Amino acid sequence: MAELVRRYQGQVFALCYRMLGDRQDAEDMAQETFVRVLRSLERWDNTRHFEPWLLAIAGNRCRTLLATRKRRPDTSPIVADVPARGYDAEDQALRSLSEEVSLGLADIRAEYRQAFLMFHQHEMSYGDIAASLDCPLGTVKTWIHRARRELIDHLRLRGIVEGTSHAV
Amino acid sequence: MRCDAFEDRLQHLLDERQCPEDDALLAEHAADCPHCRDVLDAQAGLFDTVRDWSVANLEVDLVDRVVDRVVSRATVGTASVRVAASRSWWQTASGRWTALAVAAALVLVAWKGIDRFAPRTANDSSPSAVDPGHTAQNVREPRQRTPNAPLEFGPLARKAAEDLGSRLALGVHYLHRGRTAVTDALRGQLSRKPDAAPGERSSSFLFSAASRLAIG
Repeated sequence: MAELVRRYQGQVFALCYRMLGDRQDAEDMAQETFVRVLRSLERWDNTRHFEPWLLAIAGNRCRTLLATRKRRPDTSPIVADVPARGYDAEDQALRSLSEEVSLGLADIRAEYRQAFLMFHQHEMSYGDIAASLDCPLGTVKTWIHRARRELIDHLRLRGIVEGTSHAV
Repeated sequence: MRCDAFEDRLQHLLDERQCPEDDALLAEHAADCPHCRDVLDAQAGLFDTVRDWSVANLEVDLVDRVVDRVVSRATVGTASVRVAASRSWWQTASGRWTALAVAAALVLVAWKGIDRFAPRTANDSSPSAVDPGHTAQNVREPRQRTPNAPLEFGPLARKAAEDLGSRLALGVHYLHRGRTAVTDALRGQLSRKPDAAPGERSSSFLFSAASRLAIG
């Protein structure tokens, strides 16, 4: 039990944090995810990968929370936790890009965000995501394409390009 | 290449986890189209950034928290099952209410029964005995009773007692028939088992075997 939590807690927390944009909520949701997973472990189909199932539960918990609470405007991107002092211009640009991506993510629909993060953050396949979210593969593909387009538009409009920051 | 074809190809390459900046067709179109060049520039670095988020810096260790919650929940669950199992039926709220309801019903039946089946006397002033408006069938003749005569219950009381007796007899009869049916069925099973001991065929053995099966 402890080994399972230790092994996956970073990934589950990372997904929850990007879904919710709040560290405390993300910790609570990650904890809730593991409690639920351990209580319903017998329902896991062991012919399928464990990680997609776990991340789907985490994502669904976050979506439920997002649906029940008003989104907090002061989301604190994870890069903001790192002190700015001592970083050169390139690091600053990367931090800036990360913050902009976080802001862009906060503006897209929760389903798109979850599918997008599962594909790009956790490098899951379309098939695994569709199976985990229990929806057609074509739907997952559409969600991810829309998420990409909205994120790229957000960055383009904000003047963010690789390695530099020209936020307007 | 048109702009919509540019976007389709970009999405396809990203689906395949390939690097769009290395694609000659996209580069060729982006060289002539400022909008698509912006798109190509904006997406560069986006996915690397997202990938870098895959394991976040978790400041607390969830292991203890999760294990504590799961273990405490399991302990509470087991304890509540144990307490529930050790309780007698009358210790539960529903059991107490049921007992109270049964007791109240018994008291009510007894009171009504006494009232209804009580022996009548000449001084009985119940409406059925004195009301001249009642029909002949409803008017019950007051029974004469000498002061030292034993109490005598009316015909309704006798009928009720007979009904109860006949129902009990019927219940016993059905019980015997059920027992016989089970015995016969098991005998039929055992008859296919030639090495069964004679004792195994006795009715009581078969009946107890059937009870064990039913309990199991």
